[in-house]
Amino acid sequence: MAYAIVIISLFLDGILSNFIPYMLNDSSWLIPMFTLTSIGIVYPFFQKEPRKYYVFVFIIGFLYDLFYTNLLFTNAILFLLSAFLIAFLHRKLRVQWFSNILLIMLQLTTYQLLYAFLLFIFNVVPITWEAIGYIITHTLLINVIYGEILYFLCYFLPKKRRLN
Amino acid sequence: MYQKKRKKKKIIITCIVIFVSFFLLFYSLSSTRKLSVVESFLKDAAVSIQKIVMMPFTSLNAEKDEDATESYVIQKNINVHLEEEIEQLRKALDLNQTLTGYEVVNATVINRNRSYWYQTLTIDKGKKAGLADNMVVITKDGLIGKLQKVTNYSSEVKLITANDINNKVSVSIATTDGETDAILSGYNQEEGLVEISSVDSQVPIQVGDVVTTSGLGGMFPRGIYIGTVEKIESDKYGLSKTLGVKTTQNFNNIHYVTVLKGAS
Repeated sequence: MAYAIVIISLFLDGILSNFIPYMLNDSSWLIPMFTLTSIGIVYPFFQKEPRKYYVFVFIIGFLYDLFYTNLLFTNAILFLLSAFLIAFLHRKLRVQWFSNILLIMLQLTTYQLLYAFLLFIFNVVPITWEAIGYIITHTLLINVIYGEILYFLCYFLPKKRRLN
Repeated sequence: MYQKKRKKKKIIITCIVIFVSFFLLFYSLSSTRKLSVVESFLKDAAVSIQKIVMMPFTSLNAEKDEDATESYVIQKNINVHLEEEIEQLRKALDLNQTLTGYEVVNATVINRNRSYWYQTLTIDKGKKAGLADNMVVITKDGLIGKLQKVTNYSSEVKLITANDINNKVSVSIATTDGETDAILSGYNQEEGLVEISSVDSQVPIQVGDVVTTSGLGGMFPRGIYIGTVEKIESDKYGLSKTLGVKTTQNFNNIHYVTVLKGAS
């Protein structure tokens, strides 16, 4: 189930980033990061086998780079760091619908900050705080909604596959 | 003793992982990086999968595609006589750098990397269609970017709106006093304007002046339409101007592109 959620999210990322502007007439405030969001949501499925989770996340990050960015290993490493953060937060928090929102927001913000930091230290593009703020605010809305949908989808699954 | 050894081992492994990660990041984020054979093969496989996944959704654009074709046919009919005339003049003047001297390849956009930092598109044509790095990509609305990271069956288009330090385009602004050259050097995401900086303040530029590629530098052919000047700002000392150029192309909604392959 967890694998299916993440793989569907990976393809949805591509489909929606192509068709949101077409369907909603240039909605640059809806930037999908569904793959990253789904990685956070499916963590409870792997709680007993964290190593398996980290390997899976690394592979998904690698595929994400291959499909969408051409920056081999960049997202594989960032997704993995994000997975460590998720694992840590799950040890400290009891995940409910509201804490799930906070968790997604924290995950996306950390990802974007780390990404910006990397681009800054490797001098790829000029980085400004306004630009970082822009990308974070434009990413949150659609991904928080998607994360909540996934959370409730997993919550109403048959008991043995349920979260927590 | 055993615990100490284990701790030491853990620290060494962590250091190695951090070092390898940095090396990989440096390698992957390098702007001059070429695609390896393995990476090209994997990318082609990924593009094939994506094309299958995207197939039901591309039909959404069928109507748009027809419109574009129709417009293209009309334009072609209108331009037949002009093309003949230009061809004769081109031969007479031995000009190779006009657009009519370029072979074109039409391609479909299969993926949009919407990241703010790396504004790129992936198209479904590559080396097998005769494409190569640095070829110019246009739409019916004008210049959109150039090719990079070309594999056998796909290519990445770096848009002119990408805020990359190396992303510069030499442009020409048609003013009332003739043409002036400048460098297109960035994109204002908030205002949706392409930016041209460091233009001499003495040049009489007005809102509505047309901006095209200048052909200088050899990368982009001369005369490809980019947009019109919409905003003019002087620096605080009044020595230079920064221009905001409004393009007719909506960079968030590109589905079909044309690649200028090179002189035919």
